[in-house]
Amino acid sequence: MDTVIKLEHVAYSYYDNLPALEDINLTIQAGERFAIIGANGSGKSTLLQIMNGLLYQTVGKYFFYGYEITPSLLRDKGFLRFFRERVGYVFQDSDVQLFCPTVMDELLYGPLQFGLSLKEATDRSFEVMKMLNIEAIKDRPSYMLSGGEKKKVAIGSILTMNPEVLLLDEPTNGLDPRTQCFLVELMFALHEAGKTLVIATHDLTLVDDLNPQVALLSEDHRLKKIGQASDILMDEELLLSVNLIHEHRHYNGPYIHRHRHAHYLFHKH
Amino acid sequence: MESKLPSFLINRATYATYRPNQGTIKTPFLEKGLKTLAELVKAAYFQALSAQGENYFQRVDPRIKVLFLLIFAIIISLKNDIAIQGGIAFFIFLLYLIGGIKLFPIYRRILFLAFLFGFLVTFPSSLNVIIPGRILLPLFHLKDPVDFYFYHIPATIGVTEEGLHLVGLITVKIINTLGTSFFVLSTTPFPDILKALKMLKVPDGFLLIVTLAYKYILIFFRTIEDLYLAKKSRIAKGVTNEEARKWVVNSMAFLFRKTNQKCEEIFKAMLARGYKEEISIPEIRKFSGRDWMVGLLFALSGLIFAFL
Repeated sequence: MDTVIKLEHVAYSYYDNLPALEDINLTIQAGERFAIIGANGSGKSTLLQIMNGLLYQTVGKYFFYGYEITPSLLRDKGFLRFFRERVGYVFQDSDVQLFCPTVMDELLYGPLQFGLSLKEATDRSFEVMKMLNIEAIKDRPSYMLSGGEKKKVAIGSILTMNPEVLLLDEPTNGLDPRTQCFLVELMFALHEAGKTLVIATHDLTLVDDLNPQVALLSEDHRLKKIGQASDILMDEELLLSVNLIHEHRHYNGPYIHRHRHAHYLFHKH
Repeated sequence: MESKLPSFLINRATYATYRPNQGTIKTPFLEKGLKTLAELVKAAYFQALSAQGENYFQRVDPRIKVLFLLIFAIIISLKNDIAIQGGIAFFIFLLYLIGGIKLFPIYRRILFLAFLFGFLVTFPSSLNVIIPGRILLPLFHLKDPVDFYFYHIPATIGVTEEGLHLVGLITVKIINTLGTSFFVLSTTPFPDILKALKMLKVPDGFLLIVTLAYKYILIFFRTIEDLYLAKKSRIAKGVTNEEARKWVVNSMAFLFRKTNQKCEEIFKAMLARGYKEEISIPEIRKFSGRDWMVGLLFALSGLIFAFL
């Protein structure tokens, strides 16, 4: 398998003052399911933005298919096309991602940028809309959509570009259970189609469903552990140390009791 | 709920291979402008963060610093002697040094803004067409002087000594005003400045407008930056100036709507937490020895510059 993404000692700080990432080393292979998990503020979104060439690490190196990503390389006409065609990024806040006047324009934007004909781009858009069941809203502006619809359009706008690597930032955040379930199925299907999935999340149920390779970020923005989801999710102490599980009180029938919780594996009565 | 992918997503895609030496992408002027704006906001945010540190002036009561800003703004605007303005500039420079504030980023910004709004804006008045006087540098020669209405254009147009003096004076005044403002901003967190203004009996309505405007500007520029990143992540070629202009025009309405929506939500959150159109401050602390000492230094220096 080809190595798609390789990070060596990557660190990033906002305003040269607020550390967001410290000494991150990881490798992602083509066709892999990879999850970056960690508590809020651990640096997951920053890491995805570095992988998408939107931010540049302050320390360390980022390689994409062996090419070291630098601001000057991403100004190279040939490389920009090579890179952007292959990597799609679904932002955490769909509102930010949707900047075109209507849903249809949003879906057409990417493929037209890559030089596809209008007919081919339109065909792709309709196919994606059918799959996501959003045909009825194709002429609506993004501000007239519900949270779930916005997320579907945001994902659709990346899928019409048909990237090889999908960077998904908190894909299930704030969605109802049905839409969450739909997205998990979609991620399975995309993986089966050979796409590389990189997901930043603190949703441990999603991680358990997909059973990806996991990079666990600590609250001090360091890589705590890399391993298979099934192994990491079994390590209660490890998850407790990075604040991904916690003790809480809840009702069990008429009785209230306290135990560690965040994921059904630890929901022991 | 199984997902059926369209055929184009299932079939192996053919991507462009990387061929080097196809040229580099030039960033359009508008995009550069957006980047610069975003950097300015980042710098402002960073300034607010660094203002919370522990250097000498950061521990001084904000009331002292706000009063210093107000009094020095008046002195700077009233004094028309370049030597006195030079003295004030040196005094402000010393304050930065004592405060341990990084000089290069602050002075880069001060000098850029002073060049833009001081030197460039006032430079035409250095010509004898606007301010008559002794010509130091002749620029154009006309056959004869021209008179129309009450305008008089002399035969030789050039930069005058009196004009240059005025341009220099205004530029130094702007440097000093910016220097004083940045000094206070980089040593006082924004909420403390508001508290100080409130204690100095500035009306609540004015403070509310300042607070919301500060918040609005931050949100506005953050949204611009987010939008720019979202676009950048889907762009695979260079953008022409015309395309950049179209994108900005299309995004304007969206931007204003989104930031306005956020600000309304913030205002609702304020109302929900009991806001009653008056700003209350939790505590008024007593002046410490350091506050009195710095206050005395500012007052003395103010008096010296005022009566020189």
